Amino acid sequence: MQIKSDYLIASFISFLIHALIILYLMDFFYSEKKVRPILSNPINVNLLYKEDNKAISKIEIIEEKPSINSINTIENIISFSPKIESTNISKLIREDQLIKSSSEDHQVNQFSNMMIQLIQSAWIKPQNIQDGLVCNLRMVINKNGRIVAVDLIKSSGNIRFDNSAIKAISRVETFSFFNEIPFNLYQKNFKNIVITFNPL
Amino acid sequence: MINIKNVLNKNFFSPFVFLILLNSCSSMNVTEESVYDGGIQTVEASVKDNTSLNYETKAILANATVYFEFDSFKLSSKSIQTLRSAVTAMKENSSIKITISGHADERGTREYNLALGQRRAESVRDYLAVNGVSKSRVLVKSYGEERLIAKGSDESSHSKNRRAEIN
Amino acid sequence: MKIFFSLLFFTQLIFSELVLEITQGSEDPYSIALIEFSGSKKITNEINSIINTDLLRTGEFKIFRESQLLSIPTNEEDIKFEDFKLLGIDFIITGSLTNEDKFNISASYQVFNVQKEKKIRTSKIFGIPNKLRQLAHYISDGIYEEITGLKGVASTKLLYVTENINDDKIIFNLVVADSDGSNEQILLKSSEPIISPSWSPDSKKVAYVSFETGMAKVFIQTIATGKREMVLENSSQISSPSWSPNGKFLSLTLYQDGNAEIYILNLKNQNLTRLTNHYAIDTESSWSPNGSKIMFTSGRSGSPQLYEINLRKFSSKPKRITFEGNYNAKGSYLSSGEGIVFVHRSENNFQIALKYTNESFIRPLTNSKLDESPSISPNGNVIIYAITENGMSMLSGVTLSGAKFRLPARTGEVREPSWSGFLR
Repeated sequence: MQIKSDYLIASFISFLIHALIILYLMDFFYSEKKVRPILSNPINVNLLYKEDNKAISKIEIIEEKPSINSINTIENIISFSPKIESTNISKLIREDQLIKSSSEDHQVNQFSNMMIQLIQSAWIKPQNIQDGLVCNLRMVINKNGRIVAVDLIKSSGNIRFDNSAIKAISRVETFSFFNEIPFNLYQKNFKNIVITFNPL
Repeated sequence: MINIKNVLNKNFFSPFVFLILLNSCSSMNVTEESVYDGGIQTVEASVKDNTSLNYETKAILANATVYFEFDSFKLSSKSIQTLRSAVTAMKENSSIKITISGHADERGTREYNLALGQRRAESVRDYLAVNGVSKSRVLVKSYGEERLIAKGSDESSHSKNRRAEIN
Repeated sequence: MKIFFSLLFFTQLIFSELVLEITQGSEDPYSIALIEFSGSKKITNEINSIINTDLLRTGEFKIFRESQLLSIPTNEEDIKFEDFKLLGIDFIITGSLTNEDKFNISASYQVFNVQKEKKIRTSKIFGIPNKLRQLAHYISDGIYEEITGLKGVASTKLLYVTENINDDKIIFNLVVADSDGSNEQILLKSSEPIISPSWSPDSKKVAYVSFETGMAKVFIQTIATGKREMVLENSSQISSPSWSPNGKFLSLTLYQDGNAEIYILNLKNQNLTRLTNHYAIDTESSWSPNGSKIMFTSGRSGSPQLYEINLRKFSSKPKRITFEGNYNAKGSYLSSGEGIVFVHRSENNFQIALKYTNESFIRPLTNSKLDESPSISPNGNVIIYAITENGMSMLSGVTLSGAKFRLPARTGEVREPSWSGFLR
């Protein structure tokens, strides 16, 4: 009988360990990570920033795109008003959406450019580094523009280059113009950003 | 026996659990290391004494130092003239064996200069051989830039170092 | 008697010890606060001082000592991160001596990320009292690794040759020292020159060229025991030894064919394989990190240039890899295999240069007149070489990020440095 209880205890501890490992991998223990995905929907914006001066680097901001939700809402609206001629209204709504998104796009472009400027001027290029290195960083920014977290998500293969990118972001610390960004836009596009460091 | 086994199992698990718990509660790096620094023994090199020739011949041969251009091992006509007396001395005393040592100036890398000095010494040996001095009487070696005669960093010092000497 | 011996020992120590001078940092350093370790002052002062120098030497840090801080934490829970953020400090280092008795000494240290306001590393190092310097070097490496992600080289060793005049006689010493030039220990004393020292891949043996027999011969010496053997005793001159990465082969330059040619020696069965066959000088062989290629200096194009042989395609001709300038020699591979470091002549100056494999141009790393024998640190980030100034040679170092330091000897000359592998 004693043997069995010992095995039981051993297997219980083993279960505990495995559970802890799995939970750890699922980031259960992280308090910061609660900020992740659920609310904000980053959008895809490809910004190619051409500079004459070779010394200045090119930084692209790439954000993820979910436009699925917006389409769903349109469809929802349409199904709710059967008597009115659906085509007109849907057209109007779509137009409205277009105008809104184009001005939104414009705003996103504008603010992204400002971010790129700041990061670019904060970046010190490491010496004796090969050309053509690219790394990806993810930033989490709060409403005041303060960069809450920076993580390397794809290395360039050169640790010194990766470090220089992270240092540049840390040096910027705060994007002061974030107060000008309307809250919805911020939630959608600027809370979670993936940056590609790709200097020329 | 079985009891002891189980006790061991329990002890095995607990530090493991502790470490896992410790690790999983933070993203912190926890390490432990022991310093290793091996001992070192000193050795003293015993240098061989080179056998010396009789003084007369030595004098003749000592003046037979020839000089070279940078990165070159070609004998100039002046060098050839200098070597004539060496050839005569060697032919007169057919038992004498000599060593030709090649040298280079301090510029450039040491190993390349070692090889260059060797080529220079060989040029002299080849000349002697062509003129009837058997190669078996001539030992050839190089000191590269390790035995500089002139210490300066100007061209006149460099040119004094690019040489082949006969001992 | 005792006093006499200890004095003798003391004078030997300062005979030609190297003095570390840091002359330039890199452009973009991390700011770190180094809090004095807690524990017996005599020991912690030395540890902190060594850590400070090690980290400064990497060029990657701007170090704040206690006198420059707004507040000094007495324990972990006590850190006022705001005070550090105000000064622009990125990381805080704290530590303490945890055990100190006659036979053991151990220390623990912690690294804090100021931005994230949390501890990111806690480490413990176990050592022995008379290896205090090495203990401190281990700590420096741990800190460097945590912050930069690169492996540190403070705990590695340097091998070099010193030349001194003692009572009108010239003495050459083959020396092993810490990476900061301290803790010198002599491997070989000779009245004849020693050149081309090279570490075995496991850093337990060294190969070198000694002129003690009257000509250049290669010796392999085991560091711990001092036991040494001459390579290929029955041959004539041999030089330029270089170990294969697996430690089983030694590439050498032999002169028996009428000109310098490169051979590979199988250390186990003493078989010799010829690698080059050309009437020009072929020497200064060095192996690629994966052991598949050998690079060497050859004069076959009319001036010294670097060539490469693929050992897996044995019969193919050596490929020339340097085309800029009329003197490129003593090449060695970066540990990543991404490029090479070598001596390059530009106008009349011999400098150390770097060339990446996928780039066609040469990047000069130094800018003096007579630089030679570069050796790369095992983390691929620092190059140590010999510099000649006013006719005297000393050691100098440069990191890829542009930090510079010097290691001149207190007396005499230093040259031919070779960097060990990782010892941790």
